[in-house]
Amino acid sequence: MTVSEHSPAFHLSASELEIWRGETCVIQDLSLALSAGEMLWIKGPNGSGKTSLLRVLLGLAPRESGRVQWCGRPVRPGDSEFLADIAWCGHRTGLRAELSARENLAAWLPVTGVEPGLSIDQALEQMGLGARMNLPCGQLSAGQQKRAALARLLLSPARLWCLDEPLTGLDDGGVDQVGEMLATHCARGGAVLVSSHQALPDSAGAGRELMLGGMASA
Amino acid sequence: MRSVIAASLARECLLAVRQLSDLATPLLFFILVGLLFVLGLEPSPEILAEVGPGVIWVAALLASLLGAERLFRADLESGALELQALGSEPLTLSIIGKLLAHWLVTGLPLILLSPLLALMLGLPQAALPPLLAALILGTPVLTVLCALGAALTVSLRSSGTLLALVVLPLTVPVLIFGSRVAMEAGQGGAAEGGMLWLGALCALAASLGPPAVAVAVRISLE
Repeated sequence: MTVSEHSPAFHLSASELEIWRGETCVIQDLSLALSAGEMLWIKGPNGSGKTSLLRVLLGLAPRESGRVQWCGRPVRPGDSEFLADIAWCGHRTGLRAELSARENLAAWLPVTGVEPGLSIDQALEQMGLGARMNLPCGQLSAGQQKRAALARLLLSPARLWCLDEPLTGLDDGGVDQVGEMLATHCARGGAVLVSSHQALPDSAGAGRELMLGGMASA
Repeated sequence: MRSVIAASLARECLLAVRQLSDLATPLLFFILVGLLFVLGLEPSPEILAEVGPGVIWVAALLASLLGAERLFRADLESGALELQALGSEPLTLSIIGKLLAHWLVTGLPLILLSPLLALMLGLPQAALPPLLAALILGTPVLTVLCALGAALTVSLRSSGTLLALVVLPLTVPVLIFGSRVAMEAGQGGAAEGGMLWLGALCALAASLGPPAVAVAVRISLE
């Protein structure tokens, strides 16, 4: 299944966000908008609130104030229509060390509620894990685990990709491949929200940038 | 919907098989607690038979608690829990599969081992069927209560102690009705009343438990 099979127009917007992590205010008065075909690179130093922002946009974490809207209506936590459009790849891989990459993905797939156009084996092969898909994830290197986690993106028909530090642990080839995946997804009419403290590869193409960390420098 | 529950059930069972030692610990604990009572109390058959049902229930309760702390921890730390919460299928469905699997690998073995404990404690023959029936109705309630406590405390440090403090008071009704049933049956009395209460608690836990645990998980993810 490709993204273009969905209705093309969608829009994520957030306005006047204020986000606190514990006792510190990490983001204040932040607004952003993202439409089909766009990529937004959220950058900033450690602790500038990149992950917090993504979690708030997904409805995982609460915000102090502000609005998040998906296609013109507010996003509520556990909103299944919104979540069906989201593919999340967090800093943590979501892989259990005792299970193989294939078993991990097989257990996760039904939760998305969609039939993928690709088999799990094909997705893992594309990510370069063909020979290792049956090894327990605990025996894979950090980069290989990241690849297995990113294979979820290939299986998901979601229109909006939210990626938190997708490049950590990957080798040069992996970084380039992720860049290509992002570019392909945007070209198909999807949108990408990606946080990364390291530069995105050239293969990712051009996107808008959002610099966080005003609080840290102030 | 069914595929989410089935996939979650299969995943948990697979995880349980890969960590057999984690599975065995609560069961050994269950037997040991029973054994300690046998050794520690006056070795008179009357006393043992009288306190027996209560001992078995307390041991089952503590053994359930022992296994509960790990219920969500690895999934939270690996990030698998937030992926489940971000699926378009309701989180409750994954939780149903998880609870079902947890009962199968911890609750059910406790029930199967309880005749052994009953034998050690010298429980009268007549008390055994009601004891087993009460455990079948009561252990799912324990599973749900432990999961609720585990979901609420999983993101905290030193969650083990807190888990016990949160869960133990809630298990009092199960403990009272459960041990009453077996005691009364052992003394030749009728046990229907207690059994009906246990059935009601079981129905309540099975219906309201999974959505409540799902809400608790979302709170812990924040």
